[in-house]
Amino acid sequence: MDSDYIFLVFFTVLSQSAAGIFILREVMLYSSYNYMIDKHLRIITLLIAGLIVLIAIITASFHLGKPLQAVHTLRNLKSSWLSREILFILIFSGIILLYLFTEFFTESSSIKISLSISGIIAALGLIVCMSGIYMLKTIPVWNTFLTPSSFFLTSALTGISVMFIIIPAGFGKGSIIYPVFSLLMILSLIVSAFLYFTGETSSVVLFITRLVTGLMALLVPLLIYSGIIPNKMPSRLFLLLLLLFTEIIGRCIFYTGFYKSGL
Amino acid sequence: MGSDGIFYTNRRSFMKWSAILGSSFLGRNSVFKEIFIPYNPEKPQDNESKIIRTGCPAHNCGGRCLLKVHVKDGIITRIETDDRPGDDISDPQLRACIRGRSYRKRQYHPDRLKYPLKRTGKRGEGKFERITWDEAYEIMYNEISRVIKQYGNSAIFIPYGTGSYTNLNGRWPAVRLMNLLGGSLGYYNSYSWACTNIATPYVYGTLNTGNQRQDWLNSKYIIMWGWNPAEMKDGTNSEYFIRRARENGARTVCIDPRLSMSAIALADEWIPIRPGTDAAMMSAMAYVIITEKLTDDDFIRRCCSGYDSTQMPAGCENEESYKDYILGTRDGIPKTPEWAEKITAVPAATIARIAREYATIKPAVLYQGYGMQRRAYGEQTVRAGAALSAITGNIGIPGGWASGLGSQAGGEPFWSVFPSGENPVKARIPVYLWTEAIIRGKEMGPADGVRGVAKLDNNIKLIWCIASNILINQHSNINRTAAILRDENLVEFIAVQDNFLTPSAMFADLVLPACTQFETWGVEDGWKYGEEVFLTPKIVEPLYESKSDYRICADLAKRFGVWNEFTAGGRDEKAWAEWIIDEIYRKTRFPEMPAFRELEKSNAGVYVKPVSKPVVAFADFRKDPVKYPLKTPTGKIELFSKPLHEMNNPEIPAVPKYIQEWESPFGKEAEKYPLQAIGHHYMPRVHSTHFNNEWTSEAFPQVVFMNKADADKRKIKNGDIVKVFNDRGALVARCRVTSKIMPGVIDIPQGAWYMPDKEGIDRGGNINVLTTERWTALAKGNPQHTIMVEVEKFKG
Amino acid sequence: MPEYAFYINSSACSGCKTCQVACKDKNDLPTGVNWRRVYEIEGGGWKEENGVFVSQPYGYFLSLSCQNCENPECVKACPTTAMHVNASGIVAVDSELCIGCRYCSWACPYGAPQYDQAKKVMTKCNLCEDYLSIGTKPSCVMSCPMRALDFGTWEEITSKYGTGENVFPLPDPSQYKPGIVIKPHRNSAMTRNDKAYIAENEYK
Ligand code: SF4
Ligand code: SF4
Ligand code: SF4
Repeated sequence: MDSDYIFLVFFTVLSQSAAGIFILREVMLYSSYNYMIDKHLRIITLLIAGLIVLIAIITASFHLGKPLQAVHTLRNLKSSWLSREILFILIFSGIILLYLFTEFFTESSSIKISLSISGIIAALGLIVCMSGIYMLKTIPVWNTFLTPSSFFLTSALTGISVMFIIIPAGFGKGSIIYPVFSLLMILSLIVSAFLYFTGETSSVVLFITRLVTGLMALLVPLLIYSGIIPNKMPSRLFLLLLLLFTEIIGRCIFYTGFYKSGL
Repeated sequence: MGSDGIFYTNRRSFMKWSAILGSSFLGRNSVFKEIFIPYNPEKPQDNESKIIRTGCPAHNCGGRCLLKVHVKDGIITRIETDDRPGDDISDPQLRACIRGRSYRKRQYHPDRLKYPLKRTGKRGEGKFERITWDEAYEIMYNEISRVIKQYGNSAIFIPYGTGSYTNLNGRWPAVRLMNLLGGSLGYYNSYSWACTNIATPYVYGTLNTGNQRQDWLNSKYIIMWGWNPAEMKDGTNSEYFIRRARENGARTVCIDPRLSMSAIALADEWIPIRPGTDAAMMSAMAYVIITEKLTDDDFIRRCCSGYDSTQMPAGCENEESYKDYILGTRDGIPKTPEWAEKITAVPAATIARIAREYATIKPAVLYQGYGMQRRAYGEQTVRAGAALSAITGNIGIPGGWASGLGSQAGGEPFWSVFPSGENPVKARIPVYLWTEAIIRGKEMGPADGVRGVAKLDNNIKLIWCIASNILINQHSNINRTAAILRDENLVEFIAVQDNFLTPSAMFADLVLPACTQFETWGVEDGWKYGEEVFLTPKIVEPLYESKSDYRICADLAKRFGVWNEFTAGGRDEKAWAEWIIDEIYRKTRFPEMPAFRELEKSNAGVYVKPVSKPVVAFADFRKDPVKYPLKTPTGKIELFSKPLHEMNNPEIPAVPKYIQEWESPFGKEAEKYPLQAIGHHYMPRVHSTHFNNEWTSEAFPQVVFMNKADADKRKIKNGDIVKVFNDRGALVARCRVTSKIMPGVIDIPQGAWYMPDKEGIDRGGNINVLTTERWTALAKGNPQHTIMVEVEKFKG
Repeated sequence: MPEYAFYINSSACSGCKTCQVACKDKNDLPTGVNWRRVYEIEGGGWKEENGVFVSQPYGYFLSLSCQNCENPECVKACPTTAMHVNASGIVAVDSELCIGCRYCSWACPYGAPQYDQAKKVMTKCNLCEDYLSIGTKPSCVMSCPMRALDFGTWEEITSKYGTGENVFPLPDPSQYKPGIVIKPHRNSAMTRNDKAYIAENEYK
C-alpha cells in the first residue's frame, strides 16, 4: 500500500462511522428504542458524529498536495464523484451543526424531522458518492459491489459499537442487536476476503490480522449476548477499539489491492 | 516489490557512495539549484534564448549527432536535436539519442568537479583536499620532471580513454605536451575493437571492409550477428538504415543471446545463441554452404586464398585448408549443424536454414557486432564471419558486406586529427596490457605484443589519465587493478583529469577538473561511418574552476617552457578548431566543406557530405583482383593466413576455428560458476559516462538481467537484490528476471561505477569485478565477456 | 473524433526512451515524472528440447503520453475542473485549481497524469502546445531516432496511417476515444494467446 493512502484509510473509516452513528441515532429516535436516548445523549451523539466528521475532513486534507486550494473541489459536481462526495460531506456536517443548534434552541419536531431526514439522505449520499469514487473502470478490484458493501458495513458496525458506548445502560444482554452486529461482522470479513484475493498485491500479515481481530470483534458481542462476559464499560470499550482496529486493517487491505488495468 | 530502495536508481547509489566518501567538497547543494532556470510554459523560450547547433558530446558512443542547444543567461536550458528539413536517406537527420537529450543532467550535475584536489588519505580511499591550480600545476610539473629524470620518459603513461572526443578535449593535447617533453610510453589497439582490429587485416589487409551504409538498402538479407545498433549506436542512424532496408524488402535475422532492442525493433527473426560459440555456428553454416554447393566458386577461385588445397600459399601446401577444417578432413570432426547444435544451443535445422538463406538470398549482409570479439577467442569469430562473406561471394557487390571490422570504404574516419606530434619514445604496448607494464614492464617484449623496441626499459611509474575511466572502472579484474594501483611503490604518481570524481579519479593523487565539451571549442567527426564534421563551439563558460583539457596542458606547457611550441605560437582552442577544419578536413577528405568562419557564422553545427551513391568496399578488387590486390601477403582474401600459421600457436590457428573458451559452460569451472555473464553496452550510458545521469538511469536502471529458469533455481524473484560473484570478486545489484535473455546467461550492463563497500563487494554493479585480466592470444585484447559466475540472493 | 492524434509505430520502436527524455528536457520534469513513457511489453518463455530451445519469448515497446481522449476520464474525475479541455481542444491541467488529489491519475486508463511531488500538483503532457502554435511538431515526435512517432490532427494522421490497431495492454478504446493510431509490432499478435505483461511494472 502506498503509505500516502493511510490518510484515506482514516478518512473513509471515520466519515463512514459518523454517517453510521448519525443514521443509527435517527433510527433509534424514531423507533421503539427512543427511550434509550435522552436529551443529554441526543446532544452527545451529535457532538461525537460532528467531531468525527471534522477529524475525517482534516485527515483527508493531508492527502492533498495543495489543501489550501480545496475550495475548488466543488467545481465539478457535474461529473466528478469526488466533487459530489465533498458536497455531501459538507451538507452532512452542516446538518449536524444545525441539528445541534436545534437541540439547544428549539423543540420543534417538524424542524427536527426534516433535519433528521435530510441528514440521513446526506449520510447515505456521502457513502454512495464515496463508493462512486472508487468504482472506476480502470481499477477492476474496486469496480464491484464490494466497494459499497464494505463502506456500508463499516458504517453500520462502527455506528452500533459507538452506540454501545454512549448509551450508559447499553442494550440489554439478550438484545437482538448483538447477533445482528456479529452477522454484519461476518459479512465484513467476507468482503475483506474477497478484496484480499482479488487485489493485485496483498499482504498475508494484514489479512491474518484482519481475520483474528475480526473474529474477536465478532465473538465479544456474542459473549455479552449470552452473558458470559458482563455488559460493562470495559468490555464495550474493548469492543469498540477492536472494531475500529479491524476495520482500519480491512481498509488497508482494500487499498493494498489497488491496481490499475491498462497502464 | 523490493523493499530495499538503496540500489534502485544510480542516483541514489551515487549519493550513498558519496556518503561513504564523506567528502564535503563535493558540494552537493551547489549553486546550480539556484541559478538553474526552469522552463516556464507561459513564456515561449524560443524567442528569447539563443540556439546553438553543435555536435553531441558523444564520449565514444558510436554515433555523432547534432544538438540544438538553447542557452539563456549563460545557462543551457534545453537540448533539442537535428531538425533539418528533408531527412533524406542520403543525408538523414542526425537525431540524438537519450544520452544526448539528457545531457543537461550531466552538464549541471551537482557533483561536477569544481576545483583541483590533492589526495590526503591512502591511495584509493577517496580522501582529498581542495588546492589551487597553481599548486596543482606545481605538483604536475615536479612529478613529471622527477619521473623523467629518475626513470626516463618511457615510465610515463597516458592511458587509453574515450571520455572526451573533440580533438581539443581528451587525451590528445597531453600526448602533444609529453611528446614535446621527450615522449611517453605509447600504446596501440583499443578496448572496443581489440580482436577485430588485429584479425580483420589478416583476412583483408585493411579495416575498411564496410560499404557506406546507404548501401544496406540494396540488401535482400541481413544477419545482425551480436549487433545491437539501436542501443549501442554503431553510427548515428544505423538502426534507421536497417529499418529502411527492411522496408525495401530485406529480411533480417538477429543472432544474439539477448532479445535485444535491435532484435525487437529491427529483426524478422531472433536466434538466441550461447555466448562465445559464434565461430561454431559460423563453421556449421560454412559446412552447409560447402556441402550443398552453395558457394560462389568463381569468387573463391579468383579472390580467395587458402580455401582448399588447390590454393594454399607457397610453403603451406600441405597444411589444413579452410575447407579441410570445415569438412573435418584432418581433425576428423566435420563441422556439421548437429555438431554445432550441441555447442551453440541453436537447433541444427535453424543453422542449416540460415546458412542456405544467407548463401542464396543475395546480396546479403553478415554484420558482426563487437561484443562477440571481446572474448577469449574473439579473433576466430571475426575471421570466421569474414570467411562466410567470402565463400558466398557477398563481397564487393552492392547490398553485400565483407564482415570484419567494417569501417567504411571511401572515407575512413579520422577519430582525432589534433597534431600530437611524434613520440620520441618508440615503445608501444598493447593497450590492454598496461597493468602488466606496471608490474613487469622491464620484462616485456614482443612476446607480450610490445612494438617498437625489443624490451621495455621501464615499468610505468607515472600515470596521467585524461577523460578516461580505464584505471579502475573499465579495465578487467578491478580488485587486482586496485591492489596494483594502491601500491605506491609501483606507480608513484597518478593524476586524473575528468568532469567527475569517477572510480578512477578515486585512485588519483591529483585530480584536475576538466570542463565539458559544451564549455570549450572542438571538432568531431562522424565516428566510424559518418560523412560528417561537427564544429562544437564553446557554448557556456566552464563551471567553477574547471578548464579544458587543452588549456590545462597549455598552462603546464608554460611551466615546462614549451608553451610556444605547444600552442603553435599561441593558438587557443578556437584557433585550433579553425586550423583543424581549414587545414586538415578541408584539405583532405572534405574539400567542399565550408571554411571555419563560415561554419561558425552559419550556426549549422555540422557539415555533411550526402551519400547518394554509396561506396562499396572491394568493388575494384572483385572486378580485378590482380590489378587491385589486397594488402595481404597473397593479395587475396586470406582464409588461410601464412603469417598466423608461422606463429605456430594452437590458440592462433591459420584458418578460423571454434575453440572452447578458457571459461565456458563446458569446462570444469562451470561446476562452481555455472552461469555465463556478458556485459552489453547499455542504453543509458556511454561506457561509464552518464552513470550518474538521473534521467538516463531512471529510464534504464542498472540491473542484472537473468532468465526466469535460472532465477527460479536460485529462488530469486524479479526485483530482488542479488550478489554475482566468482573467484575474482563480487557485485551486488538489483535483478531483473526476464525471458529476454537465454537460460544459462546473465547480463550485467557494462560501465556501472565501481563502489566497493567495506567488504570489498561492489555496490555499483560493475561487471569488471568479475572479468579477467588475461589477454587474447593474437590481439592481446580484452576478453571481458568471457566469464563464468554464480548468482545468489543477497543477504546483507 | 478526437481533436489530435499521435501516430505510434510500435513495429519500429526500439524502446530507446529518447522520446521520454526529450520530453523531460523540454518540460524540466524531475525524476519520477514522465509525461511520455515507453512501456516494455514482454511475454512468452523458453522451452528446451534435447538441449536446444524450441520456443521463445517476445517483446515490443509502446511509447505513450496523453492520448487527448475525446471522452477524457481524467476531466470527468477531477473535482476542481483543473483537468480541463482548453481552448485548443487539449486536455490540460490548470495548476492554480489543482489540489493534488491525484484522482485523475486513477481514472486515466493510460497513466498520463503524472503527479509532481515537489510542486504538489498534477502535471501532464500538453502536446507541446507552444510548439504546435508555431507550427512545430512535439518534442517527442521530433526526437525519435527510429522515426516511429508522428503527430497531427486526427484527420491528418488517420488519412496518412489509417486508424491503426489496439494492442495489449491498452484498454478498449471505444469508451475513451483516445487520439492514438498504433501500428502494431508483429509480436503484439502473440498476446492474444499468451499472458504478456509490462516488464517495468514487474520490478518497480
Ligand atoms: S524515441 Fe522512438 S524508438 Fe525510442 S522509445 Fe521513443 S518511440 Fe520508441
Ligand atoms: S490519456 Fe488520460 S490524461 Fe490523457 S486525455 Fe485521456 S484520460 Fe485524460
Ligand atoms: S507532446 Fe510534448 S509534452 Fe507531450 S509527451 Fe511529447 S514532448 Fe512531452
